[in-house]
Amino acid sequence: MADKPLAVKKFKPQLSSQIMGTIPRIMILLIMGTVLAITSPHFLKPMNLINLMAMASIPIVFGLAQTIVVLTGNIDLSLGAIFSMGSVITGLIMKNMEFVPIPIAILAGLATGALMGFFNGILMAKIKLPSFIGSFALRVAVTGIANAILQGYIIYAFPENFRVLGLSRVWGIPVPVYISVVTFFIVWLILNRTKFGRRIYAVGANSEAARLSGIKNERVIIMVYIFAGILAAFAGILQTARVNSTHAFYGETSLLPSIAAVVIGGTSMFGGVGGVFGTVIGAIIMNVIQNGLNLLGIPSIYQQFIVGIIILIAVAIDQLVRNYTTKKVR
Amino acid sequence: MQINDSIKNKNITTRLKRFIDNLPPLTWVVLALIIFFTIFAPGFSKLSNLANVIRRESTLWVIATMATLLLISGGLDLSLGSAITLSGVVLALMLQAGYNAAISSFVAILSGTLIGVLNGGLVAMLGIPAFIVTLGTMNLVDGLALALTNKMAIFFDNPTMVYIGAGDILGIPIPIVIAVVIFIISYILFHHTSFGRYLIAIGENKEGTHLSGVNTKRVTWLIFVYASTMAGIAGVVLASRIQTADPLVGVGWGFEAVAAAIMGGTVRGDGKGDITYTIIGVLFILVLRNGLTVIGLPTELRIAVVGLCTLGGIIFDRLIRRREI
Repeated sequence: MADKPLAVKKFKPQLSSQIMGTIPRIMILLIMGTVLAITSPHFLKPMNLINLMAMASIPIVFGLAQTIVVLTGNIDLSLGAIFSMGSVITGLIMKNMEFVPIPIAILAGLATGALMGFFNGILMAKIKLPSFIGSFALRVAVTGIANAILQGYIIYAFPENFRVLGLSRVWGIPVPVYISVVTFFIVWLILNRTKFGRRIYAVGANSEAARLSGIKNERVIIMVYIFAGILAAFAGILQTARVNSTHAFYGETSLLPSIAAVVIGGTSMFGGVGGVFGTVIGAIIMNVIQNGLNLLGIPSIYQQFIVGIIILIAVAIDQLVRNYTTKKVR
Repeated sequence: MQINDSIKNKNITTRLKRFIDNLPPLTWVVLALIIFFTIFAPGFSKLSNLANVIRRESTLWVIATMATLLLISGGLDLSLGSAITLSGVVLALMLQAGYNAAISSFVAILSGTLIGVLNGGLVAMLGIPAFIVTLGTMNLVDGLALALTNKMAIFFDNPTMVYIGAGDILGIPIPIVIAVVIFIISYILFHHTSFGRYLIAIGENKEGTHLSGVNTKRVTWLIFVYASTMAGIAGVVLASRIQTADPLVGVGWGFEAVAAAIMGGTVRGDGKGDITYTIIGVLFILVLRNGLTVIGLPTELRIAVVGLCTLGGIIFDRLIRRREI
């Protein structure tokens, strides 16, 4: 009897700290925006800002997928491959089977993502592989399959009805922005207002305690990976609609920025701490950085290098703060 | 525990028996594959083919050995492949700038060492999970290699380096000699020094090892430095063999190394594993890749099949082992 209110009580401070935790990140974003506005006259132009929002919307959806996995204390390195695979399947159906309605093609892509996520979940929950090894292995296998299907070709030129998803605007704002906002709210509601969301946090914070209190850890982890797989495939399909092409290594470049967004957003790599709002800020910060690099004329060849540095700095700061506040006994 | 066992079993035959008993279950799969390819792929077991294959895969063997040592101590290095790339690129750039082979190789290997210093420092001193640190350095280094080469492969034909890549000592290709030397050094380090015992101890119980007076931070740092340095050497040898510094050459090696270690029975954070058994994991990938090439499978399909089989090999090893327990 006494257990239940206690659990709810314990959970509440986490929500407020989640919001408090994002304040310094919003400050960083504002500072970066100010600096860019001063150094580059193009930054504050409405065209650039709208473009920035549209560019950030897909990384946000993708980052949400990574966040829910990281919240359980795992990681999913195969999300980039799932991103590619989802868009490749949808693209192939649209190009080769024109009689199939577009929503069905999209659903097939999402189902592929769910299936990949399910494999991930089995690897981590049932076979008990460490998540970074299991998901990395799946990433190699899935990328290999996608490459074998396409044989190195690029699929492009999709029907107009599909490209509406990525290109058209409503009240001057691109559709992907609306989609990312809606997706964010759905994931936020699931994480903060449902049993499933509470279980995700519980498993991530202390999986043994979660198991002892009656949570089926394995099922939660499998569900989380499926959920993340669907979101990643969705992000891939959106990107295809925007860019009008897809290929087997489509998502590989998006994986690291998404992890960086999660880390910058304050979600702990150890699980249980953080949330999706931080990730949204993190994804926007990553995009402002990339946008800034472009505006400042830094060649794209350096961008991978810079993303690597950003990840290292972000995790180092995160860890230093954690070491300072928790005074870990070593 | 392991120390006691090895003292008890001084006898060669009991040792051999124990070695065979402890062979990973995958060994039988590897043997079956070898038999299969020998029958169905003429040319697979030709001596010239085998020598080329081993010369080629010696790189994988070196970094798989390193991945095993890291996993045993509870670490992980996804950036080993990047260390291979970077050292090759640095080598080519130094040669291009007119330095001689010795200085160029030294600086190239040093660039690998630096990656280890960075990785180990962040993991040991700050306590950041190894996979996220090495994921960051993997991108940092791969990006650096791309930027340094402007995304293009650099050719070089320095005679000393070509000799290292293509020459023989007593009829044995030099890349293999180097890989064997690295393996022997690692074997001695792992089985016959206190450093090796600390690695196992840290993997089993970091807190306890620390409390019993071992400087765990230093050991963790050193193993990262050692692994990256050896990966740097492997990178120099690889670049010399193909006479090219390719900024994308290391992509995929890091994963295969970790996969080979796991298929050989290394369990992370359990202090379990042995670099000798990792050879089985390396053989699995080697036999599969070469066998499928000889059969004539298209490249894309071969990569997919090798990737899937590697995943399958990991699952197979885990499932069989769990049944034994």
